[in-house]
Amino acid sequence: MNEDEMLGLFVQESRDHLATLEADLLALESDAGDADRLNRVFRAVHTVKGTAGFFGFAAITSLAHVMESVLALVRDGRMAATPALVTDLLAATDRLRTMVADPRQAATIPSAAELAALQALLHLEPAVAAAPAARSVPTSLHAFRFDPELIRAALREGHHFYVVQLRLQADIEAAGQTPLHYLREIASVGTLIDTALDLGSVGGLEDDTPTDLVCSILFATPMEPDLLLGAFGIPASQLAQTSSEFFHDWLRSQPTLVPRTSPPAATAPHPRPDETVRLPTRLLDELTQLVGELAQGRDHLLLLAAEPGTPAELNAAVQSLATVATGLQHALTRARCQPVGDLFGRFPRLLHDLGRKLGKDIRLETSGDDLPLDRALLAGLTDPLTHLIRNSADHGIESPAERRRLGKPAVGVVCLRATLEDGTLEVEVRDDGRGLDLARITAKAIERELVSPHQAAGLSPAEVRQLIFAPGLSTAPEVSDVSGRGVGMDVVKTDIGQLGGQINLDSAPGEGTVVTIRLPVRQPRLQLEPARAA
Amino acid sequence: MQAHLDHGTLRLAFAGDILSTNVAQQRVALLSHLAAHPTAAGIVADLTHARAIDSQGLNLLIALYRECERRQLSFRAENPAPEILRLFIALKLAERFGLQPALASP
Repeated sequence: MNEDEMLGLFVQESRDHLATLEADLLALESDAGDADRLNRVFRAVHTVKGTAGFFGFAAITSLAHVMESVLALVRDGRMAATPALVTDLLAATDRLRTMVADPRQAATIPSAAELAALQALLHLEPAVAAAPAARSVPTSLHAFRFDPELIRAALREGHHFYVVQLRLQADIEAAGQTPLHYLREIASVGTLIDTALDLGSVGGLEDDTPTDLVCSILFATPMEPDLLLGAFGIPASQLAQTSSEFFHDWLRSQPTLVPRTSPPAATAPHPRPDETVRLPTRLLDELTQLVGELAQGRDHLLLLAAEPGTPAELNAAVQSLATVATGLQHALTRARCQPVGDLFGRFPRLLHDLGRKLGKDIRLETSGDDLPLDRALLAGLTDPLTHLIRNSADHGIESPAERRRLGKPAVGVVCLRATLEDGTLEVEVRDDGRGLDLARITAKAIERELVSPHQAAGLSPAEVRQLIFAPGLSTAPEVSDVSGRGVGMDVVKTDIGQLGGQINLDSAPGEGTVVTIRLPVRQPRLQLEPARAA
Repeated sequence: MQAHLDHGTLRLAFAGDILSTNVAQQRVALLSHLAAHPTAAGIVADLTHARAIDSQGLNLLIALYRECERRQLSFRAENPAPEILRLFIALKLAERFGLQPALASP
C-alpha cells in the first residue's frame, strides 16, 4: 500500500469513526450512563488520535487528545454529559471532520476555539490525601512519559509491560527494517506507550565517533516473553518485562482530573454494532449493469434450453445457472439498499443544534430505521425531511416556558416514522407543537394575493392547510436563518413530486402537525425474476 | 548544502537524503557553515529536499541539535517529508526540532 492509499484509508476510517462519534455523543446527552456507548465514543476518538499521530498530523492529534481527556472524565463518572458539554464535543468533532478531510492541511485549520472550550472544562487537582504515595519509578522507566489512558487500557486488558532497547543500526537497519516500520510492528501487537532515544550518546558536530543510537521502547502486549522474542527477533538481553503492579500504583498516585461541574446522569443501554464495508457507488452501478446483462443472458439461455430436444443435462445446468443468477440479482438489490436509519441518523444532530439555537428542548423519536431502501431514494428524501424538521423545530415546537404554561412537557418531540406497504413508502414527520395557525395562513395568503378575501372565506381547513405549499408563503413573524423565508414547503412539495410522491399535511391547534410523504418504491432497475419459458 | 543568513538565523538547506553514505561530508559542511556565520542566533535545518534519512542521518541531525544547545543557539527543522516527520514524532524528536507543539497535558 503506498502513501496515498494509506492516507486515503486513514481519511475514510476517520470519517467513519467521526460519524459514529456524532451519533453516540447525541445519544449520550439523554443516555449518559450507557457505558458501552461511552467506551465506543472514547475508542473512536482514541483511534483517530492514534492514527493521526502515526501519520504526524499534530493538529488532529492535539484536538483529539483534549477530547479524549474530557471523555475520560465522562467515562469515569467524574463529569456529566450535559448538553453544553455535548455541544462542545460536537463542535470539536466537526473541526476534526474538516481536518481529516484534508489531513495534510489540518494544521492550517483553526481549532483554537474548540480546544479552548474543552480545555476550560479541565483542571488539575492534586490526588486526594488518602491516595497511595507513588512507588519510585524503576531506573529502566526513567526515560519514559506515561500516558494514563494508555496505561489504564493496557491494565484493563491484562497486558504485559515490556521495555526493549534497540540499536537503530545494528538491531533494526541491519535486519532490513526501518525504525518507523519496527515501531509500527510493535504497535500492531499491543500498545506503544512511549519511546526514548538516548541523545546523551551523541556529542556535537565535532564529535565524529560513530554512534549507534539506542532507542528504548515501552509497550504493552498480551504476548508472553518467549513469543515476543521469537516474533520480533529481539535478543533476550535487550528485553525486560516490567511489573504491572508498578503501573497500578502509578495510576493510583496520579493527580486526578476533576471537572468544573459534576454529577453524572442515570443509565440505559442499547448499542448497535455495524458490520459494513464501503463500496463506491460507481462500482455498484457497474455491478448493476453487469447483473442486468447477466439476467438477459439467463433469460435467453432459459428459452433455448426449453426447446424440444435439449439434452436433460444441459437443461439442468441452465436451470442451475439461472438460480445462481437470480440469487445474485437479489443480493445486489439488497446491496443497493441502505437502512432508513442512515437517513434518520442525520437529524438528531440537526435538532440538537436547532434546539440550542432556538432555546428549545427537542427530542427526536424514530421508527422504521431498519427498513432497507434504495440509496438514491434516501438521498432524494434528505432535503425535504431537513426542511420539514427545521419547520417543526422553528415554527411547531414551542419554547419550554410556553409548553409548561400550556400543560405540555417542556421537551418537545419530533417523530420520524417510515413504513413500507404494498410498494408504497410512507414517511411521517410528526411534532407535538402548536400546530398550524390557519387564520395567519389565510391572512398571509390574502396579503400575498394567493387568494382573494372572498375565496379565502370559502376555504375549508384542509384547503387552507394546502396553502402552506404555495411559493413564498411563510407565517413566521420574522425571517430567521433557521427557516421562515417561505421557500421551504413549496420546494419540499416539488422535491417529493420529482420522486413521484405526494405530500399531505394535517394539523390540530395546540396538538401538533403531521406531514406525510407517500412514495412509490421501485426496485432498482434489475429484472428480478427469470423470464418464463414459453 | 546551501546556507544563508536570514535575519540572524542561519538556514541550512540539505541538498538531498541524509544517509550514512554522505553524513561525513555533510558534517564537514555543517561545521564549515557554522564557522562562516559566527553571529547566527539560530539554526534552521531545511529538509525540503531530503526524502529519506537513516540512523546515521538522524545521528547527524541530533549532533547539529546538540551543537546548537552547546552554542546556545535556537534550532528547528523545517519542511520534513511526511515519513521523516513521522520518524521524528515516533522518536520524540519533533518537539525538540520545533516541529510539533507540545500536546496539552491532561
